[in-house]
Amino acid sequence: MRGIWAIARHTLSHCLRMKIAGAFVLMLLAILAVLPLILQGDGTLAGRIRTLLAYGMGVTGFLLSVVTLLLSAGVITSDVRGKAVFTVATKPLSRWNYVVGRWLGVVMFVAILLTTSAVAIYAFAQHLRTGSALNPSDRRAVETEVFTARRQVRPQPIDIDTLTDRKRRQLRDEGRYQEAMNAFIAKTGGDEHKAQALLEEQIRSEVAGAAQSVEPGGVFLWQFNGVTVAGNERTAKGQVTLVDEETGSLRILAGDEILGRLVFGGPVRVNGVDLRVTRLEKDFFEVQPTDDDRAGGRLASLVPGAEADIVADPTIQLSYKATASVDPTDKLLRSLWQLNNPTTGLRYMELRSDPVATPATLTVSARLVDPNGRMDAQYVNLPDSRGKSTSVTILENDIAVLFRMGSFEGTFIRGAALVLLQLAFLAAVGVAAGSFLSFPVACLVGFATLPLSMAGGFLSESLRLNPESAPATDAITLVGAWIFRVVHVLLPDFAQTSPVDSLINGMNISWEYLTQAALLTGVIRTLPILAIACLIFQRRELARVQV
Amino acid sequence: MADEGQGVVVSRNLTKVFRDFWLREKVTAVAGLDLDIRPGEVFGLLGPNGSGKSTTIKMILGLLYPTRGRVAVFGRLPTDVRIKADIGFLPEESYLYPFLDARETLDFYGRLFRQPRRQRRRRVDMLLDMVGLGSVAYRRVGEYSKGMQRRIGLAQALINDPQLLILDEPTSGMDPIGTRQFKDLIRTLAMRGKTVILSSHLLADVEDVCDRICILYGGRQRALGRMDELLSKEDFTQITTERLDEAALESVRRVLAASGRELLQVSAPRDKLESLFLRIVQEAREQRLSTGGAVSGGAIAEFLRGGEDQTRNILASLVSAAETQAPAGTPAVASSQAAAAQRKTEVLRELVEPEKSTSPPQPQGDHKDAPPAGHPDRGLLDELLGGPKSDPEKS
Repeated sequence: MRGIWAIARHTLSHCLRMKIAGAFVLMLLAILAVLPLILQGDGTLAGRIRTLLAYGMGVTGFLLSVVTLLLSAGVITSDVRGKAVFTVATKPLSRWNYVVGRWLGVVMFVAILLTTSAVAIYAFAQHLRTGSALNPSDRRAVETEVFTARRQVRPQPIDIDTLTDRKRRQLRDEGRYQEAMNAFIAKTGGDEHKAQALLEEQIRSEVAGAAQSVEPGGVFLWQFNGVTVAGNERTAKGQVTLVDEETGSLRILAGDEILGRLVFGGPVRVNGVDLRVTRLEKDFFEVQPTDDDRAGGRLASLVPGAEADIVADPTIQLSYKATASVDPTDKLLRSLWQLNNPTTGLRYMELRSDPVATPATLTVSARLVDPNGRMDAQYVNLPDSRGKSTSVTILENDIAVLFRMGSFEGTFIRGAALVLLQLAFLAAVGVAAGSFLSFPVACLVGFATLPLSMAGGFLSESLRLNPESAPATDAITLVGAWIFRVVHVLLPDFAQTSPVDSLINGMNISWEYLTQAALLTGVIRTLPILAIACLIFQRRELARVQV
Repeated sequence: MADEGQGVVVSRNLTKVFRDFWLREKVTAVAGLDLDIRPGEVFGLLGPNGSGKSTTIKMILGLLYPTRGRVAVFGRLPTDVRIKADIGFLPEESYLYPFLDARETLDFYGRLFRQPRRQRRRRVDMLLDMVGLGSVAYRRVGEYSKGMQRRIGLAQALINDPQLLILDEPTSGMDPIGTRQFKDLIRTLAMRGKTVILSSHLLADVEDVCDRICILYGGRQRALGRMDELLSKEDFTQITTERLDEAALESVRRVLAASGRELLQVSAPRDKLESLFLRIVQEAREQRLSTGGAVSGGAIAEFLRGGEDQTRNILASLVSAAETQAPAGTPAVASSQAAAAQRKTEVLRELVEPEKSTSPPQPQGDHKDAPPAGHPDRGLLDELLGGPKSDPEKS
């Protein structure tokens, strides 16, 4: 290990003294400084921060990938070309120690650059966070959808198979199945097998679409399991300072310890009554009781000057995106959401008007989740302001319950670790190529690997052959598909392990996920490549003909 | 290869054929080389360009693999990492890392030998002083002249106090001072029982330091043997005396004629250019003239003189008195410290290896009438000097 460490230190020292390090840092700082100015996202503060995170991490990842490939392809080839390897290989150092040391040195160097970049991006993001938000919703998005680390749970999946069977039986009972089959046979030129496959696909598609759509006045019902809520409720005393007689809204003076837990549009309990925060300032918040609350007299004691018992529950978020078969005239979809705790029966209802095909979020109390992590959600499709209705679709993948699992900082660090895993893989590729090829050829191999790793999953999916509907017959397609399958297995899918989506959506990157990525990218893919590099370097002659 | 003797380097039918892209034999760099390099000897590999010297060295070091035949170093394959702790190698050019300074360079190589930090630092300091780069130790090696790079290259080859030192064109690019110090160093190492393999074009260097040489041509061994065996002209005798006038020369001719010999050449010996150069540099140094390059190196590093163990301290005290009685005639350029170190080493050697420090080997065999090889006819000499003719057996 001391030999590996000596070579790694030497490599790091070499890399640090190259102008590439300074050039990289300057370029990165320039990009990060300019990015927030030229990219405004959707105009909101959350959008600007997301843009910074996405482009910052994206640019960093790409630049570092290029730097990694150049350095790793060069560390061994430059030694061999410059013959410095003569003096190293004649020392008591195994050749595999040398190869691993070179790789480790490059990884240490890019880790330093990555850390520098990550700190700069984080600092810029925090700087933007202190800027003024477009509106309270924007501020809430910044705090609860960006600077957080959440986990999401999808609803119980729709049993498409059962629904498809039911639909097939129905078609047969009605005698329409054979009719459709005949139509498909005609379409496929008499190929019954292919026609049946196409018909089944059609039925399945229709069933799935129907299961995820709701007619006007109809109701969606989802069940969520596995929602684990972190954190406890926080209580504090406040003082009612204003009661708006017209709207009934209450202004309550409170301390930082409770205000820091509240979010705009989020839940708060005042004197045991569940309310929603309608305004959030530095030293007070306002709530808007419903007519029922007022009628019930439960808020009667809350008069100006009265003391209020405030409870901030942990919150969860219901995120969804609804689309319409026909867009309403005002482009808003009206709905009634009802969330239930299946054990306690606690219920929360809210009338919503959401823009079509735009992600929306409900922030509610975590008391709606029962101790087993279950919650029911119901969506009623309401007519628009003119009384017109349209069918609404909410796809399975467009609805989820999100709950806080950790800190943004923790996810950010683990996200950077994911990038480092990718860079370590690229460094192994570069070192392996450099162990037997010249620098230009090793670079070529490395830079061919980069796009395949970045889009390998997509390419493989694109070339995936469906034996039922489109059997491949020509040799080129078959060979191409086979090559990409192999590439897909050998190379990690950088798009899949990219932390960018998680960071901009405030999603948690768990230790488990990081460990899994370390196994898949590090152990299963990087180490074998390094082993191959060691084997090649062990067997090659390091000197050349000179006679 | 245990059956092949106790040689430090042993090769049998060592052959290296280079092939082209299509695996056709392109050139035979080394053909059927049999070597048996013994412990403690300074072995020279000679030959013109392309004769296979470097290829042989690279096979000994495991940088190239033999096409046929085999080679063993310390009884093991050259690729065996275990043997490399005892090897020092100076390539034909100092292939160093230009971004490191001299101290970092030596420290890096010291780390590869897993030397403890304290020992590493001490050796680095001593080696820098020895090769005369102590004052420029923090300059990047890439900025060094070729000669300075050779010096630091030599230092890296010595950082582990190797048992086997392999030097490929070691004095290439080195100034006469460095060359002289280098030769002193090789002698010192050889006295300590180290084995040195030396490949060089500079025949004077090889002649000065090597015990045995192998001359290669076209990858084949053309001559192999002890230096004095290969170089001595046994049919001639050379006498050096004070200047003789014409009358004295005539007398000599007469004496020689009486013995049936002829005076073939009479000339005044010239000083060696090396001596002249070293003397001039020494004078400049005494005048304290400044230089931006390497300064004359200091004493041979203590650890290379076998001075890092406790034995050295004990022996040093034992020889301190003997030092004052050391013979005169140390090299003109060597500093007094170096000369003292040299004398110390010789005395140490006598103390440690008394059996090797005895008189030169006595001639053997039954040739009572003829002088032994390399020895002049003492009877004739006595006659020339005007003394009585002595019995050769008593000389």
